[in-house]
Amino acid sequence: MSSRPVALIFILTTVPAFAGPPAKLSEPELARKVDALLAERWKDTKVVPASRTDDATFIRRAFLDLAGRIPSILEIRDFLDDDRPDKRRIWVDDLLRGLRRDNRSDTYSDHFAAVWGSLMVPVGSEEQGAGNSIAFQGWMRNQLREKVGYNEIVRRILVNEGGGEVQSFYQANENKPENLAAAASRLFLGVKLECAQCHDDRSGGQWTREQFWELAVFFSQGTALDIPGAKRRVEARFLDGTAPDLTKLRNPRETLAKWMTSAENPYFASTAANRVWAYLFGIGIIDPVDERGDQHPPSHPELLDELATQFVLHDFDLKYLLRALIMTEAYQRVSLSTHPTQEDPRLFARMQVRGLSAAQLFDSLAEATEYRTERNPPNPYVDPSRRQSPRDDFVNRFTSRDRPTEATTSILQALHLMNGPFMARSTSLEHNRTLATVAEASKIDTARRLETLFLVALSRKPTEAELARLKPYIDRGGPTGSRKKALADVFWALLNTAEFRVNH
Amino acid sequence: MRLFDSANGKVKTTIKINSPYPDSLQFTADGKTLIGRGMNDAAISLWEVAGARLLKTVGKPNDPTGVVRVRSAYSPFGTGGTMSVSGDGKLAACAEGNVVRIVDLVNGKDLHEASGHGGPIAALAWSADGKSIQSLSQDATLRRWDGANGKEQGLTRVPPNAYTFTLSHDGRWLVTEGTDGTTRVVEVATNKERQQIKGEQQFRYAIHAISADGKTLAIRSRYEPITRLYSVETGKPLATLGTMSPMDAPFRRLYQVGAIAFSPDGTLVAAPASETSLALWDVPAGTSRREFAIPPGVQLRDVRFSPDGRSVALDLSDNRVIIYEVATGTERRRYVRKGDTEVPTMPTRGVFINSTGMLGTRTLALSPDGRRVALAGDKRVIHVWDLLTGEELGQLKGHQGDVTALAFSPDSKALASGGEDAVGLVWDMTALKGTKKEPPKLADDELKRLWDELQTPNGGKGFEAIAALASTPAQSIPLLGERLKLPEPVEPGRIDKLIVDLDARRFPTRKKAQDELEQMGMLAATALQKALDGKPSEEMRKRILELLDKAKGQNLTPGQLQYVRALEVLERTATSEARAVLTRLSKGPDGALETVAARAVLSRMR
Repeated sequence: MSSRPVALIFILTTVPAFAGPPAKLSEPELARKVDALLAERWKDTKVVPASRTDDATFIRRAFLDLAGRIPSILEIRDFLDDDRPDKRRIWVDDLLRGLRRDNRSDTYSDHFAAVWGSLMVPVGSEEQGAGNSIAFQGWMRNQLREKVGYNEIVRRILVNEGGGEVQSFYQANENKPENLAAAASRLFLGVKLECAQCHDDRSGGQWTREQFWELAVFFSQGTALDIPGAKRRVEARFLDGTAPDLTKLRNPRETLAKWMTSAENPYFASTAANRVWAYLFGIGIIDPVDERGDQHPPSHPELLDELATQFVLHDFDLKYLLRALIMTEAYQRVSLSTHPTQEDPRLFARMQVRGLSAAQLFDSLAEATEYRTERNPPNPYVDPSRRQSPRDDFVNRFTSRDRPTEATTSILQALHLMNGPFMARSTSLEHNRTLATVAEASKIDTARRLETLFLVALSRKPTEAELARLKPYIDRGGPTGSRKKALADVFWALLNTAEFRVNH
Repeated sequence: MRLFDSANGKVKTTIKINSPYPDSLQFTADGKTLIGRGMNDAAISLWEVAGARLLKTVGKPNDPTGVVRVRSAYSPFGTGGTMSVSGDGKLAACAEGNVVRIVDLVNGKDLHEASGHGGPIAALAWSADGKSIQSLSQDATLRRWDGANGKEQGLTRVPPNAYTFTLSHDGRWLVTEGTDGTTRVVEVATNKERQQIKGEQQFRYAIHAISADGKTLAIRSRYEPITRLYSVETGKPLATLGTMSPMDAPFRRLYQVGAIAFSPDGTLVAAPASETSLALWDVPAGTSRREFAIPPGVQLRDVRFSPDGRSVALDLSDNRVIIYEVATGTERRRYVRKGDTEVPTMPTRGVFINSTGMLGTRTLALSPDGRRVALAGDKRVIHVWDLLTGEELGQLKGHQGDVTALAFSPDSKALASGGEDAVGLVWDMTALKGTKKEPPKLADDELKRLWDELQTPNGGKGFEAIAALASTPAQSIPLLGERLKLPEPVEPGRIDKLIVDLDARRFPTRKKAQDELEQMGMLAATALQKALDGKPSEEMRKRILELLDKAKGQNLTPGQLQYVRALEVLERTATSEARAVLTRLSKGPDGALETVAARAVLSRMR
């Protein structure tokens, strides 16, 4: 048997032994702890953290992260006028409940079904791939609506429980044991094993080829596999080197799922927590999220441990993590750099500006332009994307695997936005009800009309300077002398600003 | 015709009928008599269900080629294409060649013979008031006959080249499509062609359906997942439903042809939204209200609304029947056909005209009492499930060919099936018993939990609560009687004040107004619409639209959902105590959703 340093690593990275069991923290307690752990690091480097965001920026950020779109004008106006002192917490709770204005839309489940779903079964360009992804996201939506814990969701995927929709995960990995093993270890343990498929990991990782194939055995029909071209046969074995008792269970994947999703597995909860962190902050504590190892040490190991511990103690409740992290001061800081010490993104001293995903961008545009038909499907169990709809066209074209903070697709998105017929139509007076209403509403002045357009597009009120520049333009009627057309021009321009295209 | 004892599956009686495709099986309203005829057969037979006895045969077998063209005929009143039973179940009108025979179903006597048609009759139906009969013939006329004496009362000319006919439920309109692809709407009473709708390429040989109120015509393409709605009265296009499939679609869903249905109250139509989804669309606005995914590669074989309009059932080719709750668009229950391993390559086997006038087999039937669902499976098996418990009550085997027609008797006690083996079978539904025992007495906290569960947005859990409460009426009805309150009447001027408050500067004032108006539902609809027409601000407009949307009852608040589900419990138990509660609730303020719903239940229970 080969040497197994990894087993040692597992032991060493396990949550250190406490005098007693770790205390279960409420969301506000965890939020405070997170901020304290970040601040501790800043002491050494004398970091001056950025200030707290204003309400408008906060709620736009939270909507984009939790509902996948900007707030509607009603939502932004209500939030800004809400005078309850803890309104941020109240609104985040609403967002995590999926807004639930009615029985059919649950924005949280819809959005995170796409977030998790496209991660586990990526949207493929081929017909079958797209179908797979859609079916899988539908299943994921149900799990989220039913408040199934993250560990149980993963268990269901690993044992292929949940009908044809979960099967999509297997189809996306061509039903090959090696592909499934690589995907499962990467997605659920943050361990990138792919290199070890053909040779021992030489990129600084610690995984042997043998280990890779031992894991792959779990996804095969039998209890052993031949390593291709190596004339060696390996039996099923977990990544920590222990061997399962396969005789007791009919389904080897059941055993694997039990081991992988167990509260004792230090990689499982920690990878999920890191993924949620990276989703909200644009960069992981271990980064890249899928490449745990010596090459990519965590920026705040004690913070990641705490998140993982609490995630386990709260029964792998994703909403608990999201709620706690969003209530941190770290999440609520402005993204504008106000001090040179804030430059290192891994210190989390200010928020990172993140490019919108294609779906976030489209759904935000749809919200701003009141594009109804293809947005927010009436049935929560149906994936919003239907082929050939403008939404699909857009999402397929711009779905990016880039890190959100390096959103290179934004330029493409910008060009597409400015030139696309969809955009032209959506910002025309004939087709946009919002514009028509703003232009025709009686009893309001130009400043109020502009304020409405700013709230609709940028989720904030215009600054004095912006008003001073734009008011005369509208009153003059722009180049054509038509006040209505000038309003439409301003609206088009607002939707094409960099501010609209990012989560800042 | 074989009559089976479904308890032991043995044949009780066999009656040979000499034509395939018995598409016109129909029970009389009292469920005692079954009337049937073959598609290519002008002979009508009446059987006594209890004694499995042939009561009477009317007419003689026709030359099969003589009636081939009647395949597209549509009889909106009864379930039979060329036979219709009067509303009181006493008389039947049967087509025999060019003649309409009026038969006394009680004693089997021929009463009258109505002649005048110059060609074979394609379809006939009793009028809603039970006084007259309309018949459509290949002589290109629609004639109206006095049901009491068989005398001709009027004649309407059918447009030339017509090969499909659809009559509105009230008998006022006749819709045809000609070989030139033009759909024509003829007003029956005046014999005038009122509308002409030129068919685009994708709407050639389309499927037509008219809503129960006779106001809306749906024309469903057979080549694309697209349907158009028109006003029957004005011919004006109302909405286009669905999206065209992409040009590179691997194969077109030509086979989804049967999958369209109007809800019983005519406010919704189930029609494809895309190649892989079916939607419930608002009629006539054409807004998609609910949408159901059909997995890639799976075909929709049939879609049906339950008689109470609360559920919609989808028969899918992957062996699943899924029942969705219309109110929430979520799944109530799914039934899996076990033992059917053959997945059909084409969803419609033996395409033919069925009782609802659309091409395609009807593979689903929901019993009028809302307790059972029957499904024509593959391998010639009929599955019957208990709708509430989800238990499969039986697999009925007797047909020698695929089952192509299914219908419950009005009292839900019998199920009639027709198959490609030219045999019609009647199954005694009372012999099918579930294994589940009488539910135990519920503890008080369990009862309270079930009441709370009625407001869950999850259709499945809500349905379980409905089932549990409906099976323990002795406990549930007193609880519902106590909890279901009449909506409060609104003081004058209150609604207008709240609408003004919707635009208040302060958030708490706005929120309070919004919540209160939402609770009022349809009561506030007229005033809201008026405010919307007065050029309000952008925020005001959106707030009003949201409220109107909810008021239409499509997006129920949890409280409203609980209310309508509780009404469903009362309807399912159908006891005198339940009726008393419903009667009290029906006296609430006019226009309130709760009152409207209670009145609808009572009218169905009559």
